[in-house]
Amino acid sequence: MARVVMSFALDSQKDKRILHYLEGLPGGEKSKAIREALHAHVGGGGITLGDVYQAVKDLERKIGSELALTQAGSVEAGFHEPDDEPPDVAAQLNGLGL
Amino acid sequence: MNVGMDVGYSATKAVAGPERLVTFPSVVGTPDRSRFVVGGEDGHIVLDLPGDGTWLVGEGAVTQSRFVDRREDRGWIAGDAYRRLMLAGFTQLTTATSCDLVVVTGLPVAFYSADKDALRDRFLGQHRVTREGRRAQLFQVTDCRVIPQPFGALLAEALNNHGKIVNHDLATGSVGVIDIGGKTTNLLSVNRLAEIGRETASVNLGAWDVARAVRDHLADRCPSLELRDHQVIDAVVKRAVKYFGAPVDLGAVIDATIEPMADQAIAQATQLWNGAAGLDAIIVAGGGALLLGPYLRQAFPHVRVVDNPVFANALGYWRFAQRLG
Repeated sequence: MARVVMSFALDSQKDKRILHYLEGLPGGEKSKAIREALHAHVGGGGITLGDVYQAVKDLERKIGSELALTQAGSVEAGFHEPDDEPPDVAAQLNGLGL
Repeated sequence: MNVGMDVGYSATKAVAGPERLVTFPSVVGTPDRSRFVVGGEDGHIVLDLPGDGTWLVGEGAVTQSRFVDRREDRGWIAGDAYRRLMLAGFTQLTTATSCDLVVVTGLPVAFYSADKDALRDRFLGQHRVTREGRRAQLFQVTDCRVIPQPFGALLAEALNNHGKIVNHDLATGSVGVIDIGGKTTNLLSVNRLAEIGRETASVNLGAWDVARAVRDHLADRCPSLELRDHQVIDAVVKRAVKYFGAPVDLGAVIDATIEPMADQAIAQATQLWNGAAGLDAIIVAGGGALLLGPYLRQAFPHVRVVDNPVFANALGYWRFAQRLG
C-alpha cells in the first residue's frame, strides 16, 4: 500500500482542545489517533461509496452470469467471479509492460 | 495512490479512482501574471518546478498564455512539456504534500518497443512541484508500467476497479481494439490478452485531421477569425462556430473529412485482421471514437464504442495499476 502524507490546519483558539489532545500523545501516535477519529466519522472502516458501488456491480454481473448459465445451460456468459481467472490469461496480464 | 495517466497530444487524462478522473488540454504556456488571478483561485494550473521555472498548464494556457507549447512528434516524451503535463496531472489528482505513486501509462503501438523504457524512466523517482495556492508537493513514483496504448481501453472493459478480470469474453477471446487519438489511430489485436504483433499497427490519422480541415475551411469562410488549436477542436465538437456573432455551420465540412478517414481506418483494419470476421469483438475508443464509430459499425457489425471513449485508456491503466498496487 502506498503511503500518503497530508497536512491539515487547526485554529489555535477554536481547536485548542484538539491541539491539547494531540500534543499530549506520544510520538508516532498522532497520525493513528487522527486516522481512527476520521474512520469513526466516515464509518464503514474506510469503505468508500465507490467500493460499495463496485461491489453491487460485481454482484449484479455475477447474478446475471449465473442466470444466463442456468437459462442457456452453457458457459457463454461474459462475467465470472473475480477470482476465477484463467491462469494463462492472468499470467499474460501480470506480465504486461514488463 | 495508484494512477492511470494518458498524456495525449490533445489532452491529458488521469485517473486515481472511479470518481477521480481529470482531464485538461495538453498545452503548456508562459504565465502572463497580469491576466490571471495569482493564487490559483481562478482554477488554473500554475506550476513552479525546481530548475524549470513557472508554467501555466491546461485550459489556462489555452486562453491566457502568450506563448504555448503543443507538440505532435514522437520525441515529445523526452521533452520538458511532457514532464510538466505529467506533474500537472498528479497535482490535479491529489493535494497531498507527499505521496507514493504506482503509475500505469501507455505509448502508441508503433513506438512502444523502442520508447517504453525511456518513458518509464521519466515517470520513476521523485518529482517536486509547487502548485500556486498550495503547499509544495513531493511525488515518489515507486513503480511504473508502460503498456501499448489501446490495451487501456481493453482493460477498462475487462477488469473491475480492483484490477480483477470480470469480463471473460473479452479476456479469453480474440478482440480487436481501434483507438482513435488526436494524431494517431492504433489498431491492436489480442487473443487471451496476448498481443498478436502481426495484427497490430499505428495509422497516422486522428481527430486533429478533422480539426485541420475545419481550420482550412474557416480560413476561407471566416478570414478574420483566429482560433487556437483547442478552440478549433471545440468547434468540431459543437459542429459550429460564431463569426461576428452569427453561427457558422461546420457539419458539412466535418462529415466530408470524417468519411475518408473512416474509410482509411476500415481498410487498415480489414487488411490487418483479414476481414475481422474472426474477431469476437471490436472495441473502439479514444477522442475520435464518437466521430468515427458510426462509420466503423457499418463495416463491422461487432464494433462497440466504449462508454467513455476519452477516458477509456486512462481508466484501463488505473484498473491495471490497481492490480499491481
